[in-house]
Amino acid sequence: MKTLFFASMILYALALLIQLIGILGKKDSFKKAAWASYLLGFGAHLVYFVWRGLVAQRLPLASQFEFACGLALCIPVVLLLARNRMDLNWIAVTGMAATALIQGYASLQRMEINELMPALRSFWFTFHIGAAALSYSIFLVAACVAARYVLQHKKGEAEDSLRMRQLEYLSFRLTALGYLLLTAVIVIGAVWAEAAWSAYWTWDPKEVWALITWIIYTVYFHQRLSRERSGLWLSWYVILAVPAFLFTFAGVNKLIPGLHSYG
Amino acid sequence: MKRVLRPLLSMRLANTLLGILALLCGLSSLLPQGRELPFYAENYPRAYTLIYRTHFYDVFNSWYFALLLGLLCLSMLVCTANMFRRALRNGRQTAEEAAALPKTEPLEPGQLEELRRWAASKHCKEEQIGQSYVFRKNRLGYWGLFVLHLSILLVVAFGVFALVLPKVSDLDCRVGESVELDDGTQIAVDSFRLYDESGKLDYASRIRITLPDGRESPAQEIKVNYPMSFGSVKVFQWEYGVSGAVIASPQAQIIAYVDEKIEDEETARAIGEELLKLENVESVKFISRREAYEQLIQRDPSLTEMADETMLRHRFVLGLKDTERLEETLAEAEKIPGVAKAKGNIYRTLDIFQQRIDLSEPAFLSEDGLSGLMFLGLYEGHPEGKEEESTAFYRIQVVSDGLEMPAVDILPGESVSVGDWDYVFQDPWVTGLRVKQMPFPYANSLLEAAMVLMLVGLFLCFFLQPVLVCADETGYTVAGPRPEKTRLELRRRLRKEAEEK
Repeated sequence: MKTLFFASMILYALALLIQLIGILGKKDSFKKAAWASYLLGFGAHLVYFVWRGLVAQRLPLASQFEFACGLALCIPVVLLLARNRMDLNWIAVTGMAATALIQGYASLQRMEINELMPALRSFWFTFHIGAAALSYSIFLVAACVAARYVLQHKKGEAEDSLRMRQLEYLSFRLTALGYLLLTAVIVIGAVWAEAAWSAYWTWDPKEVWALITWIIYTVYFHQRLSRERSGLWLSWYVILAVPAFLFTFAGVNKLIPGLHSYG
Repeated sequence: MKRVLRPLLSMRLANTLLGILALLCGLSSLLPQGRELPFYAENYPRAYTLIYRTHFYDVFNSWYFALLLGLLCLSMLVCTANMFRRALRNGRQTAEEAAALPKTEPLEPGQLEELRRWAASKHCKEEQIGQSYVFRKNRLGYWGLFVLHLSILLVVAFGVFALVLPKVSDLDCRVGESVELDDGTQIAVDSFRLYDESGKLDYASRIRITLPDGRESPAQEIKVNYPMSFGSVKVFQWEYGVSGAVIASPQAQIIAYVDEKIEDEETARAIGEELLKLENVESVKFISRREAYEQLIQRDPSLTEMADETMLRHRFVLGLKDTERLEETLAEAEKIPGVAKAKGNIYRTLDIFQQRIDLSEPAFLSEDGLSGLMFLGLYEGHPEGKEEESTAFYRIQVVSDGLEMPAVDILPGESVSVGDWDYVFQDPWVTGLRVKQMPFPYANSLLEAAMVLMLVGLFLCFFLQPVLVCADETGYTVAGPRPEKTRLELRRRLRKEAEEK
């Protein structure tokens, strides 16, 4: 079954390559082929994920590998849902790149299926970790949309054009959805922490970095609401916020030991 | 007053405070937080003075963090009051007022019908005021920002209570024993298991809580993520460990000391058999306290002065339900330190002649040193060949007549006889309980309600945006606090319609 995982990784990378060629060469057939490859990769990825869940008899999001794998799986889902909203040419490029990179990161982690430790055997596990994976993937897609905005701006498109406004608005909507889910992650995590560790909040590094990420996006919404910042500024902000949640996801586990260091 | 409040209403101030708080949180990750000061002196000798002076070893409990958080809350409080005013005003805006708004976007002839179709598809409520139409929906959305900010304030307030008010203590307790908290609450551990039925590691204790007012909870199993609440006490399965103990008793007859008023040996024997679960009850001699007292003095005359006290501490106290002496016996038993309530109304402590040996002692040898036991270790897991039987075992070496025998593995509950002594190996599991005493039991529910309100506020803010569109034949305007989505949708729809034409 591991073959499926690696196959999906290769198919994602291939999709990225073909999509790039398609856009640069302005060939629609290439773009279609890229999407086909991406969807095929997604199919293989999904089958692997479901198989892993069945074997482990739980949501397979307990280790760094599983979480990265789940996060990468959510990106195509979000991209496919956003595809109906607008033309995804360049957004797809960044989305495909993000998927392939996260799959690549996952492939560097330990892949064995471990039994859940008692602290993770909780009703809240699925909701807390599942919402986190979904939230981070939505933030990533929001950053991909923002990257498209920046690119269009570089090409000279006016910020008040309908397309640019739509792009900025889509980025905002996605960020808002990710933010709602991140808040749910923190809230569910707090309720779970009270049941497991007796305190809602322990200033554990993972909690602290989730809070930092939350604050960073809070400032984004404040800035957007105040209408003091341009669409370009906001788009750059959404792109630059990506390292914050990536660090919360991977960096904290690797660099700062704490209660969330599960592997 | 306005001059004071105006700066607090500033979003720039809120963002600055949030930024500084995020920065402090990030910086705090550079250093382990909340350790004892010597830890920093040892590990960061060069930066120690700076760490100490800036309270950087515990940023989240520092005065400057509290000050920033307080300022942010103050700013949020003022903003929330302002949002309430705005939400009330927007919510009360009548259709007449909306219809009077100037139309900022022009409409081509016939586009008003398209706009009405769009409004119908969005389930907007349509009202006609003269020549104008007012379309609106999601009026609840006006309250989104207010609900969100209010709930964050409540989360912070109740969160501080939830962090500061409870008294938390970590206790270790051996199976069959109980621990007593400062206020008199008793927690008894009836059993402990390490694995569940399927063999997965899943440590759990079966406990009972007795409150100071005498109310006793039914026995309940607690495990990680599944604590037990009773009254204002919440007990969590925190950790577990092993700590070996062996009861050494002379091979002579087991003696149970009974209340001297129970002089009928048959009754005492029946009690011993039925309730105390004494094995081989025929070999147990039941003697009265007076008899035991005399025996003790006889064995060691130097104990005479201590005899009364010793007699109280080491004995079986038997009491029967519905007997005249029950209350008296129970009251007496409860005065004795270390007495565990074992079953029903039976209290027991160790026999006077038994000696409990903790594994910290490497050996238990006779006075001449020629016979006894030497402890080599206590291990988690299974001894070879006994995979199914226990999850911990003792490794010992028997010393007999000065000879050291090969090491053997002994399971809890098993016994070994050496010389004149019997050694019974005890269940080594010690369960680690975390006890949280909450002076205000509803604080958790309030905090959780505030957190749910926060999610509701976010949903109202982002996904239930109010729609208010006013239109006539010449043009339309999108009003309300966050008109962006409606504006974009309408523009796209009208442009598409124009292109199709």
